[in-house]
Amino acid sequence: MVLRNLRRRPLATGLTSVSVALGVALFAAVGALRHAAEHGFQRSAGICDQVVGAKGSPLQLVLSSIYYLGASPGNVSWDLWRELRTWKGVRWAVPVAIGDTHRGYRVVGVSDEFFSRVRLPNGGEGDPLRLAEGRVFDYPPERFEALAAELDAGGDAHLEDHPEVLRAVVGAEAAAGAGLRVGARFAPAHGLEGGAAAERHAEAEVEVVGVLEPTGTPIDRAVFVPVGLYHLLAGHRPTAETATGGARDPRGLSAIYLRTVPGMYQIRIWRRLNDRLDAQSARPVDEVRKLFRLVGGLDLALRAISALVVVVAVAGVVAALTNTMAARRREFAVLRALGARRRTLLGLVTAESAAIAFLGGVLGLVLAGVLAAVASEYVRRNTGVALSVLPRPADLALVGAVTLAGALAGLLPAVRAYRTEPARVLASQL
Amino acid sequence: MPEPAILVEDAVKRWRSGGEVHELRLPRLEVAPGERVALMGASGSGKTTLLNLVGGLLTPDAGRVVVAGVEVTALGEAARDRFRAEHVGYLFQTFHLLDGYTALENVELGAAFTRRLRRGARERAEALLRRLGLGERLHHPPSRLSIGQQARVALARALVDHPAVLLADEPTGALDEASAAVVLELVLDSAAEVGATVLCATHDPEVAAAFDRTVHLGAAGPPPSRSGS
Repeated sequence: MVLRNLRRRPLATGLTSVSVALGVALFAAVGALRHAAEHGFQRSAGICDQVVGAKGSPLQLVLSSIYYLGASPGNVSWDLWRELRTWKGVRWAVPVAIGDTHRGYRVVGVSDEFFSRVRLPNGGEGDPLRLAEGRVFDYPPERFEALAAELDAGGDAHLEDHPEVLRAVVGAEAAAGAGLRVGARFAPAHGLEGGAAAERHAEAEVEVVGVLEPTGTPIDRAVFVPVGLYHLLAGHRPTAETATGGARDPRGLSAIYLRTVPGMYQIRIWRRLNDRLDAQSARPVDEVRKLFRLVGGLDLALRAISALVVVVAVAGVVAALTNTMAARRREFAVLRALGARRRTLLGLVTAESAAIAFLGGVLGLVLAGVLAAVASEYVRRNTGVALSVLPRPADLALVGAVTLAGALAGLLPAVRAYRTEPARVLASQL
Repeated sequence: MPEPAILVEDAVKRWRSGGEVHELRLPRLEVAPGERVALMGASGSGKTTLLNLVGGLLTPDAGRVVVAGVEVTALGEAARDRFRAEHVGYLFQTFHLLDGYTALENVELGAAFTRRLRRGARERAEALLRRLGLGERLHHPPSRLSIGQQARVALARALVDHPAVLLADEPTGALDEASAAVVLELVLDSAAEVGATVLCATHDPEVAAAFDRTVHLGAAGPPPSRSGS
């Protein structure tokens, strides 16, 4: 009977439930995305305990070195990396150089340890990086110094004569997006938005030797080359005034990924690094948490607005129902004459309101799913962070809450149905 | 004498209509089970009011109403609603069929408010409508039925749950003479078929003549008289 009454007014029912749906969709999508985004970013942040980089904003360091977003705050020296490896409590330290791009994908210099040591958080021991095909490069960073010296000395030494350093291992999405299969050759472009032929490192074509499996992290969108190679490429060679070993020295490292022994060492190493004048250490997980706390105000505002939309929509349902009450007086009177109780009419109208709200709620979740899927695809394309936006129990609670709100608000018009005096209405011979 | 189907004792009901105060005074009305009684009286004499007192839609200011062995005046509102659902069928002058429902659904509504009667309501409604010659019109909305057909649907709705009492308020008032006669006959026959006692308000003496007897309401009217039976 409730459904029949709703079907009698398809336009009003449709419009009001769609308006509820929009509010619910916004509310649920914002919530789901925030949750998924934080989760996704945290997962990516977990590849190391600490990121060491130049002094500056720790958030900028984390964003640039883990997510390859924005510019790096500066460089740290190779010496720091060498020193760090000897520190007690350091499990591994991977030197990282970021700067070049290839077809929009970041070219990231790392040591071979990156592939063997990095673990992606999965709740337990962590997942190692796996190769979909090919192999990783295994040219230890130490050997680059000798090579660099040889090249700098001039003479007959050319980079092309050292194919063993001109290697790349490519993230899954970069491989697909830039067509970098095993065996492909490319010349990385210098700088973030590079791409013009003149800016390419024409002297060095790099050969792809491996492709990684998808990870759902920015790793998917990166092209990894041996970290030492960076400093052999034109544009990264030091000039007289920058060869100081400081933060502006292009031979430096953008960052160092650090994994330490958990517990006391972690804190001690972090303090020790941050006491230095030439470096800082940031904990990616903390920085991401801070970032989301920062953004939290925004999504709280968004959720407040969408909650308001829901409230307005429910009010719309009530208004629509209330408008029909006068026209339905006769119907209510007849139902009373047929033996319907006042409470039955109260329930009928309340149920109609609740049903519209419920319909809107369910529709809203579907819409939220679509919205979240679109948004998470956007995030993945731009950061490589895969968001798993799944229906959450909170969403079902949301539908429940909206339905309840619909029912409660429906009491308003329902009271008018309740108050119908059948004898009077029927006597008026409408 | 068996227990009356309808018993009204010393009933007084005042109401306001068009700025005037009307009053119904009925020292005694007794209707035997299965009896068919016409109510006559000037407008404002309380015909409709009496029907509503019997149906429990109104309560008297004083007096007692007993219908089908149930003391209606002793019941609370919810209990009167239940009583009405179980024992009373209403037939209105303008039928008051609900537009959003098909003919069949309108009839089903007649049995919708008591759990006991809900089972099989659709089948009973359909059978009743077929018997009344509306087998082809089951799924039409009332607005697409002729006025005579609407009267039949309304009648079916009133009788589908086999009420003890059928309350009819000018059931032929909206009909032309020819269909009025047909509908009146249907009302009386169908009521007899389900064994319902009929109380019917009318201002038409010809209609009243078809009933077992006529009760005149209003101070000016002649005292209750028996005719026929």
